[in-house]
Amino acid sequence: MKFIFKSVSLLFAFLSLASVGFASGLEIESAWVRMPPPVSDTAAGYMVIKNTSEQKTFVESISSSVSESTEFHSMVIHEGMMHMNKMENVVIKPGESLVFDVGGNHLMLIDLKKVLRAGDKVTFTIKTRDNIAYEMDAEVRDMRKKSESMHHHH
Amino acid sequence: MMNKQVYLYFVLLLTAFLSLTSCTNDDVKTSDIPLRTATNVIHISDFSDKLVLLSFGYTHCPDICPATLMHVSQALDLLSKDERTKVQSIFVTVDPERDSPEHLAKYAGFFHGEIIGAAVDKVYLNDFKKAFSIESFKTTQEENYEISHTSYLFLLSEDAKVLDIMGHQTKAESIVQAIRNKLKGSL
Repeated sequence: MKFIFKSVSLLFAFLSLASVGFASGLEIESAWVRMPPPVSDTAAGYMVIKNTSEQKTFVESISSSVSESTEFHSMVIHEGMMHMNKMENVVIKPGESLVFDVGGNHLMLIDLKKVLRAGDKVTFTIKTRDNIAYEMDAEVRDMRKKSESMHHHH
Repeated sequence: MMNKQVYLYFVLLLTAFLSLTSCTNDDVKTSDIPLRTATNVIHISDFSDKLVLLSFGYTHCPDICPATLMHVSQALDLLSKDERTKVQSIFVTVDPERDSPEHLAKYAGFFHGEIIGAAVDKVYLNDFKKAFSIESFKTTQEENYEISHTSYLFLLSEDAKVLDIMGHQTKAESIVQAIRNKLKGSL
């Protein structure tokens, strides 16, 4: 209970910060989380973060409501080998977007606090170096029946 | 003096025996390497009347491995019932330290009831990986490590001969096509 109260008060702190924030401007779109097998303690999240401001924006951290930690991960394929690494410096240039999508860079939700089910809501909080917090709700999607490959037009 | 010689001889013999037993891996054919599942031990050679669709990954992998297994699952569903009896999909972990056979069964089962999750015994893992030119390594020494690994899908015959190699992003329809090509060839 104490924990929830703390989260809520933190949330208000973030919101008030965000409302007076002017230095950085981020827009977060298309956020969703891939429903992992129930035995998994990790999940992948996806979103597009757009820098609408006129300055470089340094993203300091990301967290989610359902995992102990969350990281930005880069994914590189080199000669058939898949490399995933934590992105240490996430910088978005003015007017540019960082895309986290299936089969590429993604968010890694580490140590899930609960089993994620389709339709669950996950709240992401992104904090920039100038201490502005952005919140975005993402839906958990079960991708098994929604074929990613069958929407192509021939 | 005599005793010492006997002792040395014994040690030599024992060393020779141990080195011999540790070399036996070379004699095991890839198709006979034991793969541990939640319920038993299988070998690729067990599937003498099937094509084996083999993939590598690990259950902490949040993005690529689920996407690949989903394509495999969709491919299995696109096959006719008859065709499906001639294909066995196996998901082998490159992270046996964290992925137990039980864990793998649940993980693979989430995507499709017919995908077998398996772990190769430590003594055979390198041989098995080498047979398919699979490389894998931990990205950090921290507890929450990820594993960089080769991410191809393989279509194998019962003697573990590679009939086809596909990239991990191969869509279900293309996997089906590859399976059908080989099924036709085997008739």
